[in-house]
Amino acid sequence: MNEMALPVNATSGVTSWCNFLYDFPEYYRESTVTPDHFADVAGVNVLPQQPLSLMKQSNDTSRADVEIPAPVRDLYATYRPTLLRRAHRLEERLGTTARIYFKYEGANVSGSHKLNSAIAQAHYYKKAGVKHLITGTGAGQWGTALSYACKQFGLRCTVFMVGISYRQKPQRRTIVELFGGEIHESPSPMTRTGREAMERDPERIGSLAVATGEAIEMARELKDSARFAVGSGETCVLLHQTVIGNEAVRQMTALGDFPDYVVACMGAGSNFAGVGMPFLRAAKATGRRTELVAAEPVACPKLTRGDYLFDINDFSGTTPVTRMYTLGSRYLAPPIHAGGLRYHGTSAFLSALYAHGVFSARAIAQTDALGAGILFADCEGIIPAPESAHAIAAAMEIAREHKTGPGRAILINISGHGLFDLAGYEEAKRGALKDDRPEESLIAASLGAARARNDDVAKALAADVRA
Amino acid sequence: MEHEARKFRGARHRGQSGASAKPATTQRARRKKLDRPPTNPAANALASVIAEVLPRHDPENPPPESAELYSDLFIDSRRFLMIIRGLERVLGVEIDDEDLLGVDLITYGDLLRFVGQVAAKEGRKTE
Repeated sequence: MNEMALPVNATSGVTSWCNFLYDFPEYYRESTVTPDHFADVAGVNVLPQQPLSLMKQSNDTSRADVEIPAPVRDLYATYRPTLLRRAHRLEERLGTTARIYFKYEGANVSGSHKLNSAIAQAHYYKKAGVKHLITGTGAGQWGTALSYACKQFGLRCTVFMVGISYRQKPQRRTIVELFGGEIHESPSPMTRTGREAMERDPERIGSLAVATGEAIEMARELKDSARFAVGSGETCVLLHQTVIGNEAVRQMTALGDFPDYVVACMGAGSNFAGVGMPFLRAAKATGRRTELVAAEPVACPKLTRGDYLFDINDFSGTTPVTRMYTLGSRYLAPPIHAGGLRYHGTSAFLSALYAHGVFSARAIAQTDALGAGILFADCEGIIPAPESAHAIAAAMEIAREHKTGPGRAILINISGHGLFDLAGYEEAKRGALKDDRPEESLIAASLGAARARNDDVAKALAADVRA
Repeated sequence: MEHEARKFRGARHRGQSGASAKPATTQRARRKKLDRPPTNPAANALASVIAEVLPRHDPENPPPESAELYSDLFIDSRRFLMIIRGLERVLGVEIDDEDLLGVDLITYGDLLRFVGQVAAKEGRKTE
């Protein structure tokens, strides 16, 4: 078999998502410990923003696999299975004994892995009678994916996009509008959350916490048929992304290899969990070992420099407080090109795994990431998204650590393409990328506030236990 | 700001149990009279599930129908899911998204009526 490419029919037939909660029920339980926090308001409808089906997915430890609904599989079939191949030329350029493979999730209309959950969520929201989905997006991949998915299921879509990315990537706005969606620069004057954020952030750099807060606020005010949808972090979103890993396990098996390392970038965690968790299951089933490595930006180092705290997920402060690795919800990361990695926190479930040493993390400087992206494009003919370039840089670090001795197999998930990020690559080529190290005072202030809130929560939980 | 003003409260309401425990209702709820005792299987099922999810509640003495699920009984989205799962187990039914179409759940009475509808639907299916 030609190991450079893989016959499509060797990987078709993935009909289920990998329910990693079944594999790690203890970390699921840890991730769901939350305090009560009830506002003193009357007349609240307790029906959640999410459909019951998605809530069940986020809390189900009883099944190893979750069947992908037929309408979702039909749409997946328009772009899946995605490419997985060996990066021979990159290996040669690095002079490594490592065998480097990559899986490419950028070859769909949205340009990223986000479409895997956007389609699933649009399907479930449609079934639940929802007519309008509202969301926040960082670099825009999620917003474009959701607008396309909404179009397929006849739903209206409104997107709040982080301001700096909105201006860096105007093509994202065009795509959302092409699919009939509305898109707003965040922070915006349309919501109380946005107006408050603009007072602190007059340049409207924005953050995913603010964009998400605006979307939640609008969804709550519109009520009835409008709902908030989230692109990462939630366990059900991570579940939908496991179609990547389920495919990749089959593809690696067909290639006769198994990765010693699976490397992916880490925003809130969906592409990381999506590619990684099925490999943990496969490794356990076959008595092998694989190490998952998360690549995060130096500009937003929640895993490598953050704390494991009870924190708020969005700036509006209306979503449940969860325990996660975080820099604090008030942290405003420097405006790096990898906008999808600027979120202050990480999935509660993945945070529990990280706290117990199930995977490792590396912080990558923007210059190193985009440099790796340029080298990868040169060698393999694919321009990766700046987010994915962080994963490539981390994989290159690992490969360089294994210059001699038995070769290790490294699988990188390329979560999206970088065709809307060429301005960033131009800056990298010119050596004009701005320093992306965060201001220490910002991290200290944000973490300080988060730690104070965490102490309040810890007291409430301790009181609960005593009672 | 809302999240600054928000207090983490209610945890003790949720966890307290035992003979000395008192019903976890706010003063507002305590002022309300017991509107209707559970007299049918759906109501009994809901009362038993509520007692599991909110351990301070006695299935023999369920909340009044006018009690608000959120502000009086401290039911959030997480506990709502626990209630749904409990109902599925006790009633032997599967509750899905379609069952919640057009439903508003603000008071315990709303929840009682919803459970009755679900039980009736499942009953028709099995007839």
